[in-house]
Order: sequence, then C-alpha cells, then structure tokens
Amino acid sequence: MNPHVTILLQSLIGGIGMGSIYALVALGYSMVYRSMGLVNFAHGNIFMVGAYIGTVFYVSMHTNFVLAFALALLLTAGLGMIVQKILRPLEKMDLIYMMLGTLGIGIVLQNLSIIIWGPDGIAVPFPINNTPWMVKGISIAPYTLVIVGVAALIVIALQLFLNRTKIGLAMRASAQERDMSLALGMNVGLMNGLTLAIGSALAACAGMLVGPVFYVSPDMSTSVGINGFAAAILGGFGSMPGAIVGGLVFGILEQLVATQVSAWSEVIAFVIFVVVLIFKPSGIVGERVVDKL
Amino acid sequence: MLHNNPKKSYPQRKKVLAGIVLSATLVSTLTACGSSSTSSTSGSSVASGSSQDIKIGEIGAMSGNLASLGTWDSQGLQMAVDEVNAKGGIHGRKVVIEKLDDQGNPSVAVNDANKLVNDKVVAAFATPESTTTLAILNILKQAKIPHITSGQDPEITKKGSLFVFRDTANSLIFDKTLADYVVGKMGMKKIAVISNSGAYGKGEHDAFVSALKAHGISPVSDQVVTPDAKDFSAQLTTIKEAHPQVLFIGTEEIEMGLIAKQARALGITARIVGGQPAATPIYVNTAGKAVAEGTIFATTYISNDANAETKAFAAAYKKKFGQVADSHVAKAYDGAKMLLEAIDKAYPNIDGTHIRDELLKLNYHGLTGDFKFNDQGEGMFTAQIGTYKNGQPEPLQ
Repeated sequence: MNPHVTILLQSLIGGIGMGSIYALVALGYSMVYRSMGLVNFAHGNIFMVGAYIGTVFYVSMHTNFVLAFALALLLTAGLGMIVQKILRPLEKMDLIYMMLGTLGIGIVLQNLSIIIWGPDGIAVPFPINNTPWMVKGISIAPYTLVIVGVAALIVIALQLFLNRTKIGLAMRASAQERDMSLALGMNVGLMNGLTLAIGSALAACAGMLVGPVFYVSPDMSTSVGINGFAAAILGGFGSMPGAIVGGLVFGILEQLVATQVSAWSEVIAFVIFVVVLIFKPSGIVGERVVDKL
Repeated sequence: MLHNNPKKSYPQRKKVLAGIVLSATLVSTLTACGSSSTSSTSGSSVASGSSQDIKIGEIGAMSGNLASLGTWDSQGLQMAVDEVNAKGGIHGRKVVIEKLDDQGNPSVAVNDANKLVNDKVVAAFATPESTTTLAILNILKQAKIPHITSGQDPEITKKGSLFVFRDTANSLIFDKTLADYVVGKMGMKKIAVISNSGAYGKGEHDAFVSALKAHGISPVSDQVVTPDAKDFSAQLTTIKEAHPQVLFIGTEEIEMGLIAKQARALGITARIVGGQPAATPIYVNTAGKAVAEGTIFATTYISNDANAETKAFAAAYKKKFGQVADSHVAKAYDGAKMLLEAIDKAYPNIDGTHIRDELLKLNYHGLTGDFKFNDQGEGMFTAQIGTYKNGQPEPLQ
C-alpha cells in the first residue's frame, strides 16, 4: 500500500482511540455545563483521581481489571457528589464564585493526590495481550478496540439512562427548566449532584481506559483535561452529541497533524480549533449556544 | 442567573463566609504549589542548626514528572552525608542539607538558586536535570558556589562556568559509545530516532545523530515530541513506515518507557536503544518487562552486582531506603562523596573557590567509574553498554 495511505489509516485508528477518551471527558464537561451552567475546572483533576483509584485497585491491590474499573467509576461518582455538596452554598451567588470553587477543588485534588499517592506515578500494564494484529501493513492494537468499545457502550448506556428512565428524564427536565422543576417539587440539588456524579464517573472511565496507554501520574490531568475541554467546545459546548463528535474530531486532528509535524502537533491542532470556532462559534454540531447565564 | 431559588435559606453572612473560606483554601493551595520547598537534614533542621554546621544546598525535582530524578539524587546525597556525619562530620562540624524542590521547572529552580545564595551554602547539589541546571548556571557562578549536576546536556559545561561539575558522562560520550556498538559492532544501518524537545532530549538527539554521522549514517526517521506528551502513536506511525532495525529513544525515563510500550503496540519490532534512562528500573517498569527485554543502553553503572563496592553500596542503600539501588543513586552518591571530600580537603577555607580548586585536584575512584575533572567540570569520559536479559540488566561487552 502507498505509505501515505498507510500513515493516514494508521493515524485514523490512533485518533479514534484517543478521540474516544476525549469524548468521555468532554461529555462530563458538557453535562455539567448543561445542567448547572457551570464550567467545571476540577474535571481534569477528577479524571486523574479516577484513574488513580482504578489503578490502585488494579496494580497495587491486584484486583481484576473489570472490578477495578467498576470501583473507580463508583467511587469517583461519589467524589462528584461530594464536589456538588461543597459547591452548593455557592450556588446562590454569582456563577463566578462557583467556577472559582471548582478551580480551588481542582487544586486541592491535585495536591491531595500527590500527598496520598506520591509524585512518581504508577505504570499500568495492559489488562489483555496487546500484540497488534497486522492488516495490510496497518497495525491494530487490541487494546485500542477495548477503549473504543467500552467508550461506545458507556455512551449508549448513558443515552438510555437519560431518555428511558424516570430519574434520567428528571435530570434532563431540571437541566432545561430549573424553575419549573422546582415548582413541581423536584429536588434540583439532587439532580445536579447526580449530573456531577455521572460526569465524574465518565472522567474516571476515561482515566481508567487510558491508564495502560499512558502512565498514571498527578500531572496527567493537564493535557487530557484541556484537550477534553477543547473537544467539548469544538463539538458545541453543552451538547451531548457535540461532545462525542468533538472528541473524535479532536483526537483524529491531533494525530494527523502529529504525523506531519510532530513537535508542533498540539500548537497546530489548537490553531485549527480556533479557526473552526471563528467560522462556527456554536461548534461542529451547531446546536444553539446553551445560555444559562 | 439563579436568583429565583425558593430555597433561599442561607443568610447573607453564610454566603460571604463560604466565599472567604473558599478563596482562603484557594490561596493557600496556590502558594503551597508555588513554594513547596522543604528543608531536611539528618537529625536537626536547618533553621535550628548551629552556626557551626556546614550547609550544602540541594535543588531537584521532588514532585512532578521528573520527581524520581530528584528523589534519587537526594537519596544518594543523603547517604554520603549521613556517612560523614556518623564519623563526626567534617573536622568535627556537622554537614546539613538545605533541600529545595524545583518541580523540574526552570523558573522555580531559579528561585531556589537565589534562596541558596541568600542562605550562604558553601556548595550545592544542583540539579539532576539539564534544563534546570542551565537555568541556574549563572546564578551559582556569580555567587561562586560550586555545584554538582547530573544533567547530561553537553552544553552545560560549555557556558563558561568554573563552578559546575558533572558527576556523570555527558550525552556525547553515552551516545558515541552506543552508536559505536549498534552500528560498529552489530552492523545496524536503518536507525530511527525519537527524542523530546527538552534540553536533555535535544542533547541526546544531537549527540546520537552526530555519532551516527561519524559512521556515515543518517536516521531513516527523526521525530521530536514534547517532554510532557503521553501519546506517541502519530510519531511512531511515521517511524514504522520507515521500517527501522533500531529505534533510538532520547527522552527521560517515563517517556522512554511509554514510547517503547506504544511502539510495540503499533507493531514496531525494531531493537530499542537509549542512554542512561534506559538503564533504570523506572524504564523497565513503565515499558513492562516484555517490552524492555533486549533494550540496549549506555550507562556508567550497569548493575549492583558489578563488584564488591557496588554490592556493599546496594546493601547499605536497601537497608536505608528499602529499595533496590540503581545507576542514578550510585551516581549521586559518587558526586556527593567527591563534594564532601573536596570540602574536607579545603578545610578550614570552605569557600566556593577553595572547594572548587580541591574538586579539580581530585582523583576519585567511585561506584560508577574513575573521575578526574577538567577545567570545564567534566570528570567522566567512558560509558558501558548493557542490556536486559530475563528482566535483569547485564553488561554486553
């Protein structure tokens, strides 16, 4: 095969793998923004804590990967609930206070994880045999399929939950019509807590999936946190399909640029990102800008 | 805005209070981030130490991605200092360490260096990393504080500082030894290079490529990544298309391990080679034993079983820190022993210039080899080649 075609296809595969991770992170940002009008600056740190929780079970305590995964999701969801409880007193003040609050919580989480788990980080082995399959010169790592598959399942489950269950519908209702929901006697605070919990669980899922590819360390929050945020905006901030599309597009974009000019890949990916937003400020999916302010 | 909330039960004061508490947390954590410096000595703290103590400064990354480098350096130094203090110190005066964390960040390192100058340390262990060493070179030079670095960037000793001493070989030596082995001995011709854009990575890249050039070879693919990158599949895809026999990785330990791991996941079967970072357990641990197997590396210290001295050192280290010693700790221990010996010989004139002169006069036989410093502060001019067999490092020559 033409080497250019091979490189293109190979980077598409790599891009979809990383893109799935960004999509999960972006979903968390968008859900919280949609329901509370809040940009959760602690999201990247929650992603890192989720990765750590899973890794501690999987690597340090030799738990089965699937069980470690489930525990990471549950415990990080709990952390999301706690974050919402901490933020609740700020809810009635200007939104800026809450954003600052999330920033502060993020810094606390960052420092706490250094104190608890040390600055060094943990290397995570692949949970399955990752010898790549070769198809016409293109290699497909089995673990990449795991990432994409699990991410897809999680997204489908989330959609079903939000559209088919009573509590999911209640969450959507309170996100869209806060005052009406309050008037109907719904516990909007609880709904917000649930939203943060689910967003955090999604971040933990991303962290746990990416752990074996990356290295689980306190500074992993920065790059994925920022790229996931960028992906959410690229797709259309606050939109769920937008988060998924944005994540995949950003992941592929980053890979394609990196095969051409490797040292500048992040810079160029972000330049393209800005250019897209100049021409289409509402993001790729193009939903009207969700204005909660 | 969320004005029309019927559950407005919080009195105004509570809101203000919450705001204050929150901003206080924020400020305190922010400042904790900025100046997470710790002072540690064996026994007494620097602040309460007597004026008779001899104070040595230390700067290194104790947190962040490069924390392992700072920790190793710190442990090697601590071992040497504790040994001297256990024997009554230097001419009866106890040696204390003022330890500062630079987080691997050059601007923090500059702050730390200025602090050491203010605190009038007689010499310093700074730093275990090229970028931060280059950042503080001039400050310590002007203050005439001799300092030991283990950054391997060849540029460090070319900046005209008379006070910097390297306790290991530089990248040129490691990479020439490596290229001579891989090209000269093994007869490899198709070599791909991946390095990072930090000072160490750039030094490794330039040194290895110029060593290849001496053999009449240029890399079949030459990729650069950032020091904090985590995903390398794009660069590795390009490398894979060049079908190399050998993949040279010029980055620090963790990044090197990740690159090796991701290269294998992409189906790259090339032999992995690298400098000193490839000789560490962190690399093996990050890459995984299966991936690390067969990696060829250039180092000054292959294994703890090399001779009676290294065995004794490894046993003492294990007893003190509960971990298996590696090349970095051995190197730091050598560097610290030389510094302490120079201070001892300069006594009672323990000022920068005298200590520097004594360092230049030393003929030191250490765990990592023999040192004799030249005017630029280079003291080690050979490296050894090793590999991993059944997960254990062993010499190749």
